[in-house]
Amino acid sequence: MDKQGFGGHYGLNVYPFKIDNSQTLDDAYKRPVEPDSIDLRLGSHFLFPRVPAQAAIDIRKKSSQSDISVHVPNGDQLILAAHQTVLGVTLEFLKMPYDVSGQILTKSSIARTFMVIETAPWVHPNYRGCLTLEIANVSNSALTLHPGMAIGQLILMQIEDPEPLDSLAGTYIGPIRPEAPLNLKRHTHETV
Amino acid sequence: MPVGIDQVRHDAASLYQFIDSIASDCQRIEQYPSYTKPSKLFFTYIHDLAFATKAYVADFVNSLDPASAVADPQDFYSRTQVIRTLRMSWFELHNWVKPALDADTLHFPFSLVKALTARLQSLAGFKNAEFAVLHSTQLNYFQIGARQFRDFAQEIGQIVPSAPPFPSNLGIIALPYSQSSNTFLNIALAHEMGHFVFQERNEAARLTSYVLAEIQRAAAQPLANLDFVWSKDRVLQWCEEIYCDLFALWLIGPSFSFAFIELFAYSRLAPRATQSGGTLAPIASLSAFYDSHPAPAFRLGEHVRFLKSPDVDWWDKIESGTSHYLQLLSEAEALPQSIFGFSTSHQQSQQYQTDLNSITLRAFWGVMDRIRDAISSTFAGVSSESNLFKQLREPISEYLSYGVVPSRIVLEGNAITPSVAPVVNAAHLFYLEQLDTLINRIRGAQVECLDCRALWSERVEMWTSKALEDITA
Repeated sequence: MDKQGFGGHYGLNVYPFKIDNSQTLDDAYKRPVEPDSIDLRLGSHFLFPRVPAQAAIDIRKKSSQSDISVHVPNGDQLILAAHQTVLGVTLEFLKMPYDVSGQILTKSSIARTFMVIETAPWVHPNYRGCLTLEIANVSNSALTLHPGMAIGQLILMQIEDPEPLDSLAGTYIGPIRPEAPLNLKRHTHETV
Repeated sequence: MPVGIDQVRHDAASLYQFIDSIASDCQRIEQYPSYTKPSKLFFTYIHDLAFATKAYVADFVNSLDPASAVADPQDFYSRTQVIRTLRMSWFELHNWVKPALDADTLHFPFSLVKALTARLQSLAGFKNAEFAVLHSTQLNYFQIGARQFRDFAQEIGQIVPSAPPFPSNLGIIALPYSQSSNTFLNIALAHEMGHFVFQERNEAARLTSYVLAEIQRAAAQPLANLDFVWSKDRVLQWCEEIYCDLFALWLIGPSFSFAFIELFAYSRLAPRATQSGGTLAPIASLSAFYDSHPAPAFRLGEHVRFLKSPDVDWWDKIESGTSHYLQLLSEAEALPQSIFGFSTSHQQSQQYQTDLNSITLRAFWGVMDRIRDAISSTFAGVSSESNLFKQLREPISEYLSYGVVPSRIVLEGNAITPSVAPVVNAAHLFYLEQLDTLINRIRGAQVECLDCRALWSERVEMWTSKALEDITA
């Protein structure tokens, strides 16, 4: 897999170029690119699920479950209590080519603190947006999250016989903040 | 019954409680919600002022001699009025604390404000300028004069010697609470930053001599003193508003004009019939000057004249656009000066007032060049970035049309980080003229569907905001 096209300065886009269906990738970006993966960093926006009043959330149904949106500016930190979960987002905006899919994995240094960042790791071809991260602190201690910290690794896979798309499709197009699952249609409270 | 020490103690305790109730939220600023550094600076000021005021009140009451209340009740009453004076001062602060607390970083476009502030800091003398943002319940934008706050702090300082000074270089601007997440409309904040610069540079004092000369020239006979002052005040207020418009245009480009048109819903106005049977452009219906503001149609026409000037050189880069906002701007520029009127009244005699209004308006026309000079002096050596816009508009529009944030643009194999004005103006024009291109690329979305348009307009604003966040990181 050609690793061109991924990188950029702090907080900048990571996306293959050109932006149409061409599979040409831009090599202008110079950022942490390992031989087999690309580092992704943590963004500044988080979405905490509220503990529901009912006994359980039926994930097949629309719910009135609320989320709490939190912004943590660069230089500040978010404390995630033991066994707490939060939706986060990558600082990088990704634009995948039509012939490449990807998988995001927790960086090993993060994983060894018993933090899991992604449980739905697949990134589809043509996806564009900041990736929503399902972050879970499965350790017995509180952990601090710092926007800008390298938190995940993106691994890319070439697709054989890809079909160029003539329109954009998908459940989530172009998000820059973490997004709650659409099937739950949760309300977002924008402050604590 | 004369005022005794017990009553003063009661009033002091009440003031204590009153101050606590205003300042307590400022003391609790910890982690979430988050505030920008300038907002925190404002809260720290309130907190420190509360601390100093309470300490002063405690010392003051302890120092009172109960016997003096009996010996000289009048003097005792006068001296203890300081409690009431301080309470009145805190009435004023009460107005601003909650609006500042409401404007956390999730509730105002902090990346836009940061980007505008960074541009403003490139002006000579404004390297350290910062802005705390407040929410307003009015559907309008305004600036609270830093001088007003400094004067206020000075007044309290005359009573409370340990009162902190209001932070130098801190401006305070307000936006409508309901528009806190809107990127394009909030470009109007650039105008409010202009008020801060106008006041800090003391431009009113520089313009006053020109204004006085123009009023004298416009009046056939010397005006009564009160009328002269009234006329001068009107012209100076109009000058400040025009200065702030031109300031915003230099700071961020024609995007300010688009925000102005959208904010006041000027885009769809009916043509105006004339006495000769013809019609004037729709914008002519906005030809009335107000006490505090020039006519909207005049302001928009002046925007175009300034955008055409070699200083900023924006107009030829946007004039061929298809937006009806550009059409409106062209119509405003073409309006003759004779259609503008000013019909306020502060005199009993109608004829005299008509003459005075006419003199005031003529004096304003006479001083327009001085406003442009003041703006050129303010922005000496600072580029309008219109040439960068010309270079980057097309690629930025293309990125947006594919749903990609234009934080980095690749041009002929080279990656470029665009600056603020090109991103804002290209994105704003994309929103005005090319939204259909994006919507047509989204499976299932329809250009006729208002929900779709609103959704994808919001996405374009989000991507613009993300680009500004990345550029200014």
